[in-house]
Amino acid sequence: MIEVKEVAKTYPGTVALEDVSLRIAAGEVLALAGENGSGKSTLMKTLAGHIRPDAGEISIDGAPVRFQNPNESVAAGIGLVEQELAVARHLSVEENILLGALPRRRYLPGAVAWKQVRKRAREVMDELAIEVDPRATLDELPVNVQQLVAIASVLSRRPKLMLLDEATSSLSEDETDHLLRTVRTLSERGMSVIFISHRMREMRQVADRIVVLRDGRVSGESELSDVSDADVVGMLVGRELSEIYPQNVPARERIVLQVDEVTARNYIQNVSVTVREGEIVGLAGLVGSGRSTLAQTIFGAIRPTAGSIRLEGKTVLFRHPADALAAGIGFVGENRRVQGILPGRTVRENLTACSLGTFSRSGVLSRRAEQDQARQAASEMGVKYTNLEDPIGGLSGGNQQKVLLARSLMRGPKLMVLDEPTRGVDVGAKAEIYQHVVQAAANGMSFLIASSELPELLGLCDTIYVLSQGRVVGRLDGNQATEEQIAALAFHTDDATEVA
Amino acid sequence: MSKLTPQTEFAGPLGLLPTRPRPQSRGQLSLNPKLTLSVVLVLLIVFFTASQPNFLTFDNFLNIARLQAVPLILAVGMTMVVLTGGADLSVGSALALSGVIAGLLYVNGVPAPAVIMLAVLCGILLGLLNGLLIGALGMSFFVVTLGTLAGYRSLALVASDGASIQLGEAPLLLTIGDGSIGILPIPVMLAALVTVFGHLALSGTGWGRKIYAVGSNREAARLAGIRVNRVLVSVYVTSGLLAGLASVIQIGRLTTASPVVGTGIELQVIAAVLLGGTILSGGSGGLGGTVLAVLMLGVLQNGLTLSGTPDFWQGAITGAILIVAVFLDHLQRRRRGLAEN
Ligand SMILES: Nc1ncnc2c1ncn2[C@@H]1O[C@H](COP(=O)(O)OP(=O)(O)OP(=O)(O)O)[C@@H](O)[C@H]1O
Ligand SMILES: [Mg+2]
Repeated sequence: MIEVKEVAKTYPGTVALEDVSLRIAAGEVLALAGENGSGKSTLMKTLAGHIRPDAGEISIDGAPVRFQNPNESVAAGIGLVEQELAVARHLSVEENILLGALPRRRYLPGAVAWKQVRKRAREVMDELAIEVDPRATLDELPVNVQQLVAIASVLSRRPKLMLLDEATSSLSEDETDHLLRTVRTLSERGMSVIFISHRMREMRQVADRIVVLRDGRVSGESELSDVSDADVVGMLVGRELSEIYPQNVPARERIVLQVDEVTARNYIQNVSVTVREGEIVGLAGLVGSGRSTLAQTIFGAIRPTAGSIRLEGKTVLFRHPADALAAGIGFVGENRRVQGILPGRTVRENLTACSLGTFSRSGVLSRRAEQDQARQAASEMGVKYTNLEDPIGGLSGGNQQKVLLARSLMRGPKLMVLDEPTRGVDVGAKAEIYQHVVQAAANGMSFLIASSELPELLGLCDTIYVLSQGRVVGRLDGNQATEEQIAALAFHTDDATEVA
Repeated sequence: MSKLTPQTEFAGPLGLLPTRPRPQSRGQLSLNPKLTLSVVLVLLIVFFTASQPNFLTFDNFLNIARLQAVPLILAVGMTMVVLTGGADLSVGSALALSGVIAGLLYVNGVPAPAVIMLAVLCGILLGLLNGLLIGALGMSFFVVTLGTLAGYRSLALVASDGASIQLGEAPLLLTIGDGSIGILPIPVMLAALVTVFGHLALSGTGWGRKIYAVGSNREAARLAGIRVNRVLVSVYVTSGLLAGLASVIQIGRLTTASPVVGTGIELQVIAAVLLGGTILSGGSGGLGGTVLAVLMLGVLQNGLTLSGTPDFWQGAITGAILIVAVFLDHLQRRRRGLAEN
């Protein structure tokens, strides 16, 4: 049994944890929920020895432990899958999985026993149904696979307590289901789990009990079977959340974006998509179906090899994302750490990174104007921060995501291309973001949103395109489509073109 | 960079680091390179003042400043390059090549003002070659500038036939290299001017912001609409330009253009940049620390010379300082990694 007693952690200007106590029995799966910045990750990092609490105590089976570093926590049987993907991008899948514990050859000191590495890696990969070449470099693989590898790496150590900090946020539904089943099985064999997610469905699927954090304190605790979804949301947000998806205003006639038979590398083929003024268009599909490639192609980050893109009637060929930005397209990528955040730079600099031109005169920045704009953009998006001049890394994951949204909205684009815009964002903040999107759409901004969260697409979009294997396999009316319809299309394979 | 595994995070090179994370609750105990440097600088000054009677004199300080003008100008360019996550190993060779070409032009009758401009232009072109190979072709900065380190030096030797070029009477160049206005040496004022401009550019212009962004996260910078290639070209061109400018001071001071001048100065300059707290992987740091570090190295060199330490030792000392600098860099990065989690 693992017990956390009265743990506290303060950062300059923020109380991240205050008087937090909880206990997890062997074999128990505990869901940990809370808004962005409520202290979930901080608590996980405390358990994993990445940070030391200011006060309080952690004990394992009654014996108090004081981790001086992550190694000690690992040795005590605690394994953390971090919220921000932590993998060695230039190493192979198998090396990543066994990193830190590479099996050695018996008679050749120091030499790695590669056969064993492969065998052990295979076992864990099978367990999580990771179907890639174990020798592939992580860099070449999509985020979801990288995430699975990060999970596999922790699982390979057979921890007593596994901490999953939003580990499912970039996984497909199938992968999530499989992971949660595996976790369940392992917990029946005695492994304890703390599971963090912003999705109710997942928590119900895997956990027995839920603990809710709010502003660094435990604000509620319950058996999951005793509470309704609305109860949990109430505990999370501290108020009733009546409707998450606001009423959408019908789009106008004028076409803003016309993607015509576009092919890029071999990831998308002959894709055609139309976005009207004020329209919210969704891109659905399984992970790997080409949604992100399409989004990046429109933004000029990937060059199309065939086909044409027209923006407000004019054919455009962007050679660089800067061209797309100048033409009035905004973009937020699916992987905030790789594609968005400027680590080590301040919240302000992260907010204004693509609007430098708007408050500079012949290259010289006006600090005052920049600060005003940054402050305004942050408050409009509801970013929770202490000081604009703090490094961005001090913000919780969800708040970093909001910074990225605010960054690209600051330029007032005509078209926003968003790839998984609410990844890692809590329910309350999601509702706020949806409100923003719908409001902006009513004012004539167009949206193209790639998302794996079907409820999000269904609740928000006027039109939904379904992609499968790099092709558009269906175009649905957002008000009438159902999850089943989309899923059926998304799984469709070869003869799919006829459906479109 | 962030953590790969707990092991890599806390194990230092050669086990040098304590395996204990810095007590975070006492947070502010962390290392501030500028503060550390100031303390070291003061200690050095106190030490040399106590041990060398003619250390603490106004003339000696002017002397230190004069000698550090060239390294400081080079370090300004180097800071910008390092901030993008690169380094320019060819600065010393570019300094020599620009100087030799300027010297040849001068002895062949080109008027001094034109020579100055051509020296700067030469530096720009040398930087442009580095920049295009690195920024436009995407080659590794290490390979490219290691190549031009050898190449530019060799061209300087070829052009000068391996011998120093005596400029003879060169009043304007001599004034720039060794003159004073009142008590202030002109090269020192030039270096100060370059530093101030560099600082303003880094902290107050869009260009400076882009330099930091590129060093912080290249892909994110690109997706934020920053033309990474151009930024890379621009910093190497700046580094070359400043090497060209420094070469004017260099040849003016002794009215001699030597093809072997500045050999190994890139190490001293990079050491200063890293000592000043700019992080080798880019995205964090600035000129304030660089200036302090150049001063500190200058005081150290001067003090050692005054105390009669043989020149041969100076390489060992600069080398040791470079290692200390990289060590500090590592510590700081680790702190950043912790703070950012
Ligand atoms: N290194 C740090 N420096 C300063 N403040 C920090 C740091 N790490 C976390 N915080 C602050 O502590 C609070 C809790 O952050 P934490 O990351 O634990 O939130 P979270 O519950 O995981 O949020 P999310 O759902 O967005 O991931 C936040 O206010 C955050 O800004
Ligand atoms: Mg978190």
